[in-house]
Amino acid sequence: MKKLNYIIALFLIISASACKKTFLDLNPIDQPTTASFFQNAAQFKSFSNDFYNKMIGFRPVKSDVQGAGNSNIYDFMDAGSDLTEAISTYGQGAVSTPQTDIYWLNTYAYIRANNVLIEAADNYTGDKAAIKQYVAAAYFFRAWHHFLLLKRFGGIPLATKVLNVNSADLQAPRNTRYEVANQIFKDLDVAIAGLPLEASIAAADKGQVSQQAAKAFKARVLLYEATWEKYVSTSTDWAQNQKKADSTTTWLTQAANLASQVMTDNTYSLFNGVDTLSYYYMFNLDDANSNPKGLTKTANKEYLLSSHYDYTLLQGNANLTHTLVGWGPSRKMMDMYLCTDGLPFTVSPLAKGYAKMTDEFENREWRLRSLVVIPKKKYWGFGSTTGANYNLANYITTFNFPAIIKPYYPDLYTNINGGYPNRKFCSEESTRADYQESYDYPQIRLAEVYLIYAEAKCELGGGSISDADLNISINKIRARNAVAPLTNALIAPYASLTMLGEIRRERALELYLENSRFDDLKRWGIAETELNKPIEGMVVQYSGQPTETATGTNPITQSPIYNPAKFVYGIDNQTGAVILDPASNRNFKRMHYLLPIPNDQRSLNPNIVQNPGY
Amino acid sequence: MRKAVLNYKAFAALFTILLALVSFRGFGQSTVSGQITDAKTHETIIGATVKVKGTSTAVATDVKGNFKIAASQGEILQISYLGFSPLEIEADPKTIMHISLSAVPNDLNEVIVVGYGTRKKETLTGAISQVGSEVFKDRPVPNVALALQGEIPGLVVTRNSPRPGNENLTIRLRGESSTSAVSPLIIIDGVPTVADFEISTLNPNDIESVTALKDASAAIYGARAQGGVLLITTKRGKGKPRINYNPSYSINTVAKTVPWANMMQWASLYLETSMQDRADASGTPIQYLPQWTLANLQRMANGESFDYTQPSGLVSHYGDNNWQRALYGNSNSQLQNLSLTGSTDNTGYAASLGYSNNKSVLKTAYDGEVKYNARFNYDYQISKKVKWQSGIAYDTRTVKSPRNGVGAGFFDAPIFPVYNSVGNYYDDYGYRNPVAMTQAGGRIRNTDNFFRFNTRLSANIIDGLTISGTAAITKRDGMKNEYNQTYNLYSWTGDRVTSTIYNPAFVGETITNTIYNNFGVLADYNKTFAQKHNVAVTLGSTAELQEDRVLGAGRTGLLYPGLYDLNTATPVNATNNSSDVKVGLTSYLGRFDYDYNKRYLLELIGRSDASSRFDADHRRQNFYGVSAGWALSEESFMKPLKFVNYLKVRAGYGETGGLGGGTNGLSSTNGAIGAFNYVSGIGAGTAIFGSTAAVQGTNSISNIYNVELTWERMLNKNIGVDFTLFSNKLSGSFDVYERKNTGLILSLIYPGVLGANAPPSNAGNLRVRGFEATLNWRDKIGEVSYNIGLNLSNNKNLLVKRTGATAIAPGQNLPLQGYPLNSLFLYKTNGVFPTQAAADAYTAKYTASTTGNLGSMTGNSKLRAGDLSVVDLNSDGVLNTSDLYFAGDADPHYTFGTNLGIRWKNFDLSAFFQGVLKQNLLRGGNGRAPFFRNYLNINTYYIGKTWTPDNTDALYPRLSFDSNRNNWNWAVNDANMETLRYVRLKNMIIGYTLPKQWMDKLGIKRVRAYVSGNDLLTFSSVKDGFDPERGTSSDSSYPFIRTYTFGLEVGF
Repeated sequence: MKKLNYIIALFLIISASACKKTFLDLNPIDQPTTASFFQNAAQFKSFSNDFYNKMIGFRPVKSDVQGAGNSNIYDFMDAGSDLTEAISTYGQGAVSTPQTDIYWLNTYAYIRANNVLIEAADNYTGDKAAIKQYVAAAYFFRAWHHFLLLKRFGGIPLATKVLNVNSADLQAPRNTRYEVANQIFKDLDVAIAGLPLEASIAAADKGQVSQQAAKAFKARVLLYEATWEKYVSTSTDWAQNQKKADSTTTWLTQAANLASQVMTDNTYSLFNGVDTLSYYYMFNLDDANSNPKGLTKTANKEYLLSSHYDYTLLQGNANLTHTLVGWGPSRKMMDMYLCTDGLPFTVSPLAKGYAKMTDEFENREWRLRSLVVIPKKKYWGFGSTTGANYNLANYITTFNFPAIIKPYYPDLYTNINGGYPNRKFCSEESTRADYQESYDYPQIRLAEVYLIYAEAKCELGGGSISDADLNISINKIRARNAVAPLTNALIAPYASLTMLGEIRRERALELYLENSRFDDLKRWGIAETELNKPIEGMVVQYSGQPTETATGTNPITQSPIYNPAKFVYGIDNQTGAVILDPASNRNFKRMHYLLPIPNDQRSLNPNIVQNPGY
Repeated sequence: MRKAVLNYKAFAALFTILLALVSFRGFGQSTVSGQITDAKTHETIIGATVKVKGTSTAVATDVKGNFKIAASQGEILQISYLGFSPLEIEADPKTIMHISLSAVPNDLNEVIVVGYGTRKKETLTGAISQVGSEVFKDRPVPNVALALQGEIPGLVVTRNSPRPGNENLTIRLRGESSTSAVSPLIIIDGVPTVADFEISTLNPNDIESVTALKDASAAIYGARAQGGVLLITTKRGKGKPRINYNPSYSINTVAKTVPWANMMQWASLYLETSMQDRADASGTPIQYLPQWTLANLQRMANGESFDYTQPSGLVSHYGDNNWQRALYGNSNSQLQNLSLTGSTDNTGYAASLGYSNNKSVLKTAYDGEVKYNARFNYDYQISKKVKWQSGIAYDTRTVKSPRNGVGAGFFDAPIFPVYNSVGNYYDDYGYRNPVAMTQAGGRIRNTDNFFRFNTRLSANIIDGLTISGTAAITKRDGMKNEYNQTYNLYSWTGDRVTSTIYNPAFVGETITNTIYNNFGVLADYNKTFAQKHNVAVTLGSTAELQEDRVLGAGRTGLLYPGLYDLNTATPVNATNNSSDVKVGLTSYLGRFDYDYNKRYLLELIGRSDASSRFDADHRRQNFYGVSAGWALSEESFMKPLKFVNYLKVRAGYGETGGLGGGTNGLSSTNGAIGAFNYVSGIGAGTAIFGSTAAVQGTNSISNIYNVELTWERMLNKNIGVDFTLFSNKLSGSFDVYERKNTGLILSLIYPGVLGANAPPSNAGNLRVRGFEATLNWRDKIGEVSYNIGLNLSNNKNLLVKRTGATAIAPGQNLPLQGYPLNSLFLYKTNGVFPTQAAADAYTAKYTASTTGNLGSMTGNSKLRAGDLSVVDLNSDGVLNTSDLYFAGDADPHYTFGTNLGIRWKNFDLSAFFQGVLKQNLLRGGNGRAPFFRNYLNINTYYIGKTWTPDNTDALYPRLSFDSNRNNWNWAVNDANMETLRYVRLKNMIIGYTLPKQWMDKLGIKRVRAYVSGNDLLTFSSVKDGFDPERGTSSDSSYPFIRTYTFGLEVGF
């Protein structure tokens, strides 16, 4: 019995002393912790790599913040603008204050990560030169995300430090629009100074932000803020008497200079790989099966910064082809396309009218055939049965289409739509299924730099710009699309045409579906005029006669092409086109230039003032 | 660790034998002989005392229950046995007397498991309820938690689905105790479970008792007892060797389906809706698909079955199809259980084998749960003073289900057939064919193997003092295999529809491995001083460690039909991941019980827990409980009240702790406190770079840490009364309580500028108040004995404080200070707009300054006559969230259970009702109104009850296809809330025990046959046809199941 006592006593002692080490002093064994990170340049690089995943692209992006959600690329494709048949409540001016906004929550979370790296770099005791570009990238993305917030909400609280739950800055009021813009410029200056030139970025690291991309981005912000100040001024500011920057001219000059630096750099060039359809195939450039020339993504030197996807490694996951085919151009956009003589459809002698369905496609620029499905022509579909099987020898004119491919006829009989299916960002690949499209998403491309340059120069010139400046910028874009160059002489005979108007037209056409139209209409101060016009589709009445669309029959289905009863808003008497969304549904106002601050942020921080009108 | 159920029958037997030996005196009287059996089980009773009244002559029954006593005709024999009602019977020397004893109802001597020990019921001072094995008997419910539904006052078990293995149970003892889900700590034979669901792997037939510690008495489990404790004790061997075989066979039937429409009803309402909504110039209905033309819809409404050739040449077919019938039907389940129990002088053994195969009513594919259970409990008295007890169990449970489409059938209009003209899966409008989805879309197989071993070696050192060492190990091997398979759909004429690939093929495997160790030393001291001062002391120390390892891998693309292994999937796009988390807990515990003559009772409990989850400086916390009782009935002043057999008042006060969720399983990740909340982890991911695309690593930080975080603390106050009245016929108890969580762990929400989730912090204060009442009546009328039991409980909570603001949102809210959890905030409405002019005036009035909620009610969505008029409660001219009002909480209130038992000769009947008397129900999902999407099926309940220009007094607003209008009319208004109330006949059993004389010839001890029914009857206030236990969702069309069972009990 005594023995047992001893055994039990011993057991007690052992269990008590062994406890702490075995049972309590446990550390994470499947994850590193903050205590052991940011020790070398490779870790800085790895941390900055995640920033690239946080640019909004095709693939949904989110943050870990409570209440945050996935980004949606279709929120950034100008749905509901005057250019597309896709209607949105925003474009209609029907905006109510939401409880939360995922872009507010996500964006600040991304900025926090940028700030974490910037502060870690301050404390880094190793070779600072080795981490310079990653720190510069953090500044670049901090500016990138602040710009998104600025465009969406106007002046917002700046986040330039890693905050914790006790930080007084959590209750800080909104910074003014001008403070935010200045912070973006300051951050971009640091970024430009620290980022490598595109040529110095190793092949394995391509896709990381270059000095040129940062310059181009800064030019974009400069033009945005300069024109906003000029045309919108303080009319959308959330508090009266905010200090204006009064630097329109300085900013426009800087924008033109930065754009010029990128243009003369010769690192980038417009994509011209697929002849008449280069503009189409650039936006769905995937593997060699994605286009008739067998080109891959390396053929594209036009993108300065893009979100990278890969069929095997990271698919786009956005169901692009399926969705975007229905986001065709509106009547307005169709009529904006240029004829090959460089003049718009409305004035060009080459314009053939609308009597036949194919008339308006004749003598038009190549961009139109790249963007829009033309009636009576055959097109490859998408996916395993109708996807492309290019005959490389005669790829443009006479595709050897299988029997399953039928010519396109508009359907205004069973569907309410404009009749112009979109092709941009749509794939023809047979080896892809829905959500598997994996082309890169352009964040900044050279064509935009040309547009920035031309617009800034024209604004600086009080509405006029030299032929030389046009030739080094947007005329290169026009050349790709077989359009005669824009010159002062070309438009002189037409009172309705101005140089600024033509540059803006070029921008609208070139950047269609690229998150530019709403921004442009707003910074030009004309959103309420342009957006409140009706959205229309195909012309059914032309010169007092019904058009082929109105009278024709689809020879494949034997069904009429057009059913007037479908279109409850009827026909626009001036254009003769079917109305998809009447002016009475459209109520866009100056207040809608900015979105309302979500309710949750205002209740969490009562110092945040709501935007005017909401 | 293990404190066995005190084998009180055996103790009593020994005691009475001794007594008999001492007191036996032989006289030359006649000898009366007989056998004493248990009236209920018909088993012989060993050691019952048989005494001749008025003499000191007494004997005890032998191991066969037989006795012989000297007594003469006419003398009265007094027969007694602990736990049974004493009986007086006239001695009859001429025959062999067969005497049966009935168990004492609600015996105060009942042994109650209290955690690290047992107590007699009469000395309890805490709010503790215990149920025995009868709860699990004869029921086709292989899930222990589900069988407990309604049985224990204060315990609420909710299932979100009737599918076996996929019930998604939530278990709450005395309501919510935190803002996050806190279930009671579940302990099996002294060993805490490694995860909440472990209870579902047990074999109900192995269970001897389930005890709920509901108040400060749970403090003996300290930091994990916030949600109360459920102690599960398995059966141990006692008495003669006995073999029991219990097979049962069940038919599961579709009991209740939502009244979904058939084609005629659907198409009529479709036409009606499109007219109410917005007809185009020619009156053509608004369509979703071009093939649904006006003419076609009219033919559907007429009930025609027809082909329709679309302009493109594609042929569609329409005909009435009841998807419910295509998907759901009767199924069979079975249960088998074989057990062997017994004991000898120094060993006790209980071995069992169980098998169950429980299927849901999905008929297109296997959907159910298969369980195999094996257990062996073994006790061995090594020497007079040293005892070994052990339990070993292996439970394996496999849940197999389709990976896609379960619950489908509602998202499909009832207008197209399952199969096309040549027998393939038919596709009408894009991958919607639920039969194909469930049959060919892929499957999930989820297996959990549990190996449990526990042992206890105890030594009786000196009189009254026992020291024990315990050790236990639980090993869980979880294996989940799932795959998605691409299935083909066909047009009516037989062409494969290829525009979309349905279900990208995928294979995933996840292995979860848990090892849990538990070591303890315990000292127990029991002593009675001066015959009246009873003292019991328990002191102990335990150390626990749990390691969870997860290994997951997946591949997309399957290579060979019929093979669904990782190896048979495409190796590109392979992913893998793993995690390894270790958490430990060391504890000291103590309990001191004192009673004076079982009249004045006092209990003190203390526990100190240290957890590896916290920073070293904030690791240890202490918990305690104090309770006292006063057995009033033992006082002399109560004696005149003859009808009072027993009366006790008791009160308790103490603190327990919790992790803010995730009570079960040391490394459980669903608690608010993670395994390593005191450091920030660096996450890893990938990004794509390079002119040849390649993966590079990325790192990120997601959390902010907080070293000061510690356990939630729950202050429990309880006052209760236990009573037994009217010759033990009526017994019951009543408890009122208040529980306060003083360190509520909240993840506070800060302004978005913070850019991260704030770390959880102890930042709130939750109060729960409630009561529990139990009443039991047992009596006998002639040969019929019966009992009726009722338990009723309710509680209400209030979030007294939470740091940081949260905005009030429409519908069910996140925790809000000053309101109960799960608060509902709704808009007030005052009827519908009588005219379009009224709707227009309303729209103009409330959009004058800013649009508010009406921002989306423009264009095709603009308000019409017949739409609801929402009240601008704060009269600020804008309709927005500041017009919401508090409409109550969404929790079930006044939950009750009622037991009814009747026994007559060889027949027995028992019935069990369970229900909820009050709950606010705000129906969610797409089925809460007709046509949330125009391709959905609709609930026929609404037909004829919606506003039209001809029916302006309708119960519900006007029909629409427009989602803005539907959200306006059918979402978060007072008009949309129902009060839920239901009573359900959960279970009814009718049994018949075959006469003993027949059995004796066959050499079988006992055969009982029974039929039982589960969920037989429901009385519910739910108007829209959904099952009351279903919760708020309406998106699943999975029907409610009713089960009929036939079973046998055979004893050898």
